[in-house]
Amino acid sequence: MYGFEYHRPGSLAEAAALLGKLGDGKPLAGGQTLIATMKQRLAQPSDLVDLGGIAEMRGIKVEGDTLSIGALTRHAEVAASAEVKQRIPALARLGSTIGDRQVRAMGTMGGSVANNDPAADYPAGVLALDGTVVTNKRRIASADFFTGMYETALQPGELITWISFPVPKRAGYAKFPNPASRFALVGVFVSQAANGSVRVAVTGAGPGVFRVAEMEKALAANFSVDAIAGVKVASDGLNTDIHADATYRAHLIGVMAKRAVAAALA
Amino acid sequence: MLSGSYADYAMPRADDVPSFKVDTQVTPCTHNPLGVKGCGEAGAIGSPPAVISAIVDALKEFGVTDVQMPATPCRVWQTIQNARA
Ligand SMILES: Cc1cc2nc3c(=O)[nH]c(=O)nc-3n(C[C@H](O)[C@H](O)[C@H](O)COP(=O)(O)OP(=O)(O)OC[C@H]3O[C@@H](n4cnc5c(N)ncnc54)[C@H](O)[C@@H]3O)c2cc1C
Repeated sequence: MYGFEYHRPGSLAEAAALLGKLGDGKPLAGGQTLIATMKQRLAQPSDLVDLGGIAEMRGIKVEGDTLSIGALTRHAEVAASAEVKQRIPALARLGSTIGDRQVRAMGTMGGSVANNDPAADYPAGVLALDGTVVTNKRRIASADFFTGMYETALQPGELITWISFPVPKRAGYAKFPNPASRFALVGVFVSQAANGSVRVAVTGAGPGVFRVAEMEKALAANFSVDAIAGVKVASDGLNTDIHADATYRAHLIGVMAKRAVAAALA
Repeated sequence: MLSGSYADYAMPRADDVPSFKVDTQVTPCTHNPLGVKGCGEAGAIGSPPAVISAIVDALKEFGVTDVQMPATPCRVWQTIQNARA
């Protein structure tokens, strides 16, 4: 690891000001990705701005039909939250499948969404639930937020503060974990909004999270496992690596989507 | 070796195995005065063939007669597809 300066601001305004002024500073949340990349010398920020002391970015709020989760909220807190379990149980379940106990105790929703790892779980939830990423500058619809592999619409120095989710009619998440890393080999989040529209978001299979229009159409007409049993997803553009090839990942999308629908109906 | 770290190489971890008790059964060797036995490299001679044989047995209804290691989920699925084709 290369040397860096450490800062721990007490407010969002102070953090944003620091990041604006420091040449090559990076925000630090749970450190579960950033510290490892620094140890491998894949990242060498001049400064780390630890967000941990910023109370206004932490917590879980319910306002009407919207559930909002602070960027600094840990995976374990999402998994255990009574509010999340009651309104979007699939999101609590997703949180409980991330990594291991140690990772869930430190990793944060904001860090995961900002990082946009192609095999991370939260991007599938945020996209399928039609979530809104709230930053210190603006509100970004999930459809515009995830722009590519490890790429997002965030500008340099821009901070995710909260992520808000309209409470769906029903939702389910099914994940086939990579047995080594426990990231998603393939994960599928299925959600039916209060108005009946359906979103199916896939993580782990491609270079970034994406939706499956054909499944969405079939489920909007008939929300059942049978409705998507015949839908085949093409393997073009999907990932091939030492763990699985594109053909197997395409097959898993079908299997995980059916399990996610079954979970949503359970 | 294709894996870059333990994020690629699956190792059983504490939460992958059931709780168990460790006990010792002492059977001294009778052929030397110390009663000691050599046990270097006792490691994994029996378990890989036992596991692979169990997988082959589980897949026999598909006509599978062999599975190459490592038996990743993808490898097992492909083996079934090939046997069906
Ligand atoms: C062994 C292991 C297993 C894992 N398994 C899984 C898994 O199964 N599924 C999964 O989804 N993830 C998994 N992860 C990743 C984990 O979920 C991390 O928590 C997550 O990727 C990053 O969150 P963090 O809070 O640790 O962020 P950090 O590592 O602190 O930061 C990550 C990046 O986001 C930026 N950042 C952080 N917070 C903000 C913010 N509020 N606004 C803007 N930018 C920000 C940082 O500058 C950095 O670039 C695993 C990690 C490990 C080490």
